[in-house]
Parts: sequence; C-alpha cells; structure tokens
Amino acid sequence: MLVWILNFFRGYVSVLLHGHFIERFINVCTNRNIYLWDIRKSTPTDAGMKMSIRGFRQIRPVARKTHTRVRIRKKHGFPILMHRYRKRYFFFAGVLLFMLFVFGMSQFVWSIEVAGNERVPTQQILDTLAQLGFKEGTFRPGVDVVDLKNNALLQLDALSWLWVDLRGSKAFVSVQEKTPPPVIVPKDQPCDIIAVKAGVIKLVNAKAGKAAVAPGETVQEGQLLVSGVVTSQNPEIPHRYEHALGEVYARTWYDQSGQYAPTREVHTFTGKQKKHRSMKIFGKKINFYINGNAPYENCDKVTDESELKLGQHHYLGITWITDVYKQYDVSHEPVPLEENLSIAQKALEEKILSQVGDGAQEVARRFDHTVAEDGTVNASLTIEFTEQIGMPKQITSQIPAQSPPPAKQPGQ
Amino acid sequence: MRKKKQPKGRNKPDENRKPVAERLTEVLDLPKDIVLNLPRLIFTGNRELFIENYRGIVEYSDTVIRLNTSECMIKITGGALGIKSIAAEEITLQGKIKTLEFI
Repeated sequence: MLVWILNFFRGYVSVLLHGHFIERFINVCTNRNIYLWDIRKSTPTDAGMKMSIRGFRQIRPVARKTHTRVRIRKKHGFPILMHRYRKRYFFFAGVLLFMLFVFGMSQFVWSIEVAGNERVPTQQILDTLAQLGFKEGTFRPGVDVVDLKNNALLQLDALSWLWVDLRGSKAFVSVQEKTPPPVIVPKDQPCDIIAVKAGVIKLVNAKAGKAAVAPGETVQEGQLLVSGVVTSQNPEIPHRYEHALGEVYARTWYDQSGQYAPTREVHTFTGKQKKHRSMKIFGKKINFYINGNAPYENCDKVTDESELKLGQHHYLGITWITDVYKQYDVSHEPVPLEENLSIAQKALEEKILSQVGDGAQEVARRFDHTVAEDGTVNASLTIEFTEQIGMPKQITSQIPAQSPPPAKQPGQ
Repeated sequence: MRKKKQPKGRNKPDENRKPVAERLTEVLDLPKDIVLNLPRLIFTGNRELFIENYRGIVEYSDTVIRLNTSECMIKITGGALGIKSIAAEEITLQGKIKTLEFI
C-alpha cells in the first residue's frame, strides 16, 4: 500500500515488451538500477511490466542492446494527471481557494465554551467577553488573551480567575468563582451574637460578652444570644462594648412534607420519529424544515450536532444539526407503596439537608405518612439537629450610656 | 623410536568436508547468507517467494523461472508465475509455485 502511494506520486508507466531476450532485458535493467515490478509474460516473446518514469527514460539503450521493442500501454500517477490537467486553471484555482477557505476559516473563533461557573451564569460571562470584543467570529490572531482575561476579571466581580484557552477555532473559557467571604466583624468593633435560626438552646459557650440566653430556652431567629454590651451591677461603672465571641448550640427542627402520586408516567417509544435538520454557518442557523414545532404531542427531542473540523480543534464554523423527535406513549404504572415511601423519604431528606447549615448533627428523625383512598401518599419528615446557630452582628445603635451615678450632694 | 604419526587422509579429497569459510562462520556463529553470499529465500505459502542475493534471471516464462545465485541455480516451476518486483539484489516472485530445485 505504502509503495503503491509512493509510486503513484512519482508516476509510473505500464509497458509492453516484445523480443526474444526479455530475461536479459530484465537483468540489464536491474544492473542499471531500474526498478521493475508486476512483470508478466503473456507469450514467450511478449511481456508486460511497470517501471517508474525515471526508469523509462533510461531504458532506450537497454532496449537497443537486447533487441527488445518497448511500447507504452498506459501512463499512471500524479505527474501524468498534473500534466494532463495542466490547462484547467479554474480547477487549480478552486483547489487553492478551498485551501485558503479552510485555512482562513480556522483562523476565527467559532465556538466558546465556558466551564467552572456555578453561580455566575454562562451568558453573563459570554456577554462580558463579547463586550470586550471576543465572541463567535472573532479573528483569532487579534485576540490578546492576557488582556482579555484582565479586562474580563475587572468586569466580572464574582470571578477570581478566568482563562481563555484558544485551541484551534474553539475557545475554552475556564473560570473560578470567588467564595463569598464570611461576615466578619472586625475584632475591635463591638458586636453581638444573634440566632440565625429558631431553636432550643442546648449550650452557650460565651468567650467574650455576656450570654443572654440559657440552655433550655427557646429562641427565635434574630434573637440576641450573646450580648456585646456588658453592664456592671455597680451603677457607677458605665457599660462596656465588647466584641462578643462564642458558640451557641441549639436543637433545631426541620419539617418537610409532600404528596406522592400512586402512579408514575411511563414512556414507551412507539418507534415513530421525525428528523429536523438544520445547519449552523458562522453562528447563523439555517433550517431545512418548514414547521419548527414538535411533530408529536408526546415526544423526546434528541439533538445531534456534528461539527466540520480540521483535525481535532480546527472547527470551521459549520455545524450540521439533526433534531430527532421520538414519539412515545404515556401510560401510568402503579408504584408499590413501599417504593413510594422510600422515594418520599429520600426526597424529603434531600430537601432538609439543603437547608441545614454546615456541621449540623442529626439527633433524631420522624417519618409519618398517610395513604389516601386513591393511593396518594402524604408524607412528612421531621429531623432534629444540633447545630451552631450563633452569628456575629455589629452593634450599630449605641445604647445610651448608663446614667451617671447621682452626684453626692455635700452636706447631706 | 618414536613412530611418526601418519597423516590420515590429509591429501585425500573428503566429500563431506566443508570449506574453511563455512566452518569459520559456524564456529563464530556469523550469519551465513551475509558472509558466504548465499541467497535467502522467504516463502509465503505457495503464492509468493522472496529471494535476496540473487544474480540474475536465466529463464523466465509463466511456468518456469530459473535464477542464478552465487553458488547454484534455482529453478522454480508452477503456474501463472510472474515477477512482482525486481531490483538489483532482491526479487519477489508470485504465482502458484509447485517445485523449487537447486541445480
């Protein structure tokens, strides 16, 4: 195969020989380093063989010497083709144009992918980049990645890091979001500790400030737990403002309830499907269908995009999109009670755990359910936790200073 | 008086005796095809035969091919024989090979 390709590009001729000393002809050729292949003898005096163009040019003295007549049967190979089509200027222009097109199109950014963001929407990042002049269709060599990164980070406050990786005509934007800093009251500022959520106090550990609640007390959200205002029993001493420090553990309860239907939808595909094809050229979509609505009442849509690429990353800006709509029938399948209950419990637990703060420890849980006549499960889950509920809050309003002790009147 | 050892058959031509060069290659474990300039034949079933180190074609038809080598002649018979490729040092034959003889 490899030899064949090499021969094709070098060009070769298939010749017919006629003579009585063909063996001698072959021997002389090999001695003169003329490479021959595919030699076949049809009659004792006739043979066919192939040789390279360069070999053919050297063959005349050999043929004369061995009294062999050489006739060309066919010319093969790339140089022959080039020679034959040398006047087809527009064909060559087309080849050149195509190569320029492929090369030119791979010089643009045709797709931008954003990864790493959770809170900041992708669209916002893309919009910011577009404002800075980096969007689909931007000329690649004109992009200064470092500059782009610096400007984008200035505008996107919620990001701590951003990098645009240009791989061919695809841009991969990786971002890292800032973790919001916890509310920290500076040490020298007076503050209280208040409750983040309601609960029953289990333990108050006040390292600075004065505990305002005792274990066993029920507190509401926002209630003062450790006060930063320290008053003295001695009325002569004015109260002090402190930076309250400490942890307050409380028992907290979380309820969640929900209804769970006794049946669930089952989708069985009917096998009917319809395809909508479209093409995306340089960001513009061209549809090859008329009615863009879903063709069936119940159907799943599967979109397949194949991109025209040169190599792995040189996307050429053309995407072929196939939307397959698969029709399905909806039927309802009963769910066994046991399974429904476990589904309910899992779902409710998930809901609760998303509300609970870090470091909370589960103490107890209760799961209740009633089954309605039609089989619907009404479930409720209560979980009790022990968690830290204190949160520092700066003292903003100054309490009027304790009234100064009444002046001792002389002579009393 | 010591008896002089009679050289046994030193001047007699021994048919089984190998030439010095060949014995040397055997002792030194050298590849014979290179040192003694012998042909090297590689068969692919009965369809193809690759011969390295040949010296030229003596006879060529689609049933018999005779090749010269440094030591002897190789005669290949079969049907639809052809030369797949030929160069100064090596040759590849193809076709239905029936026999191979060293003459």
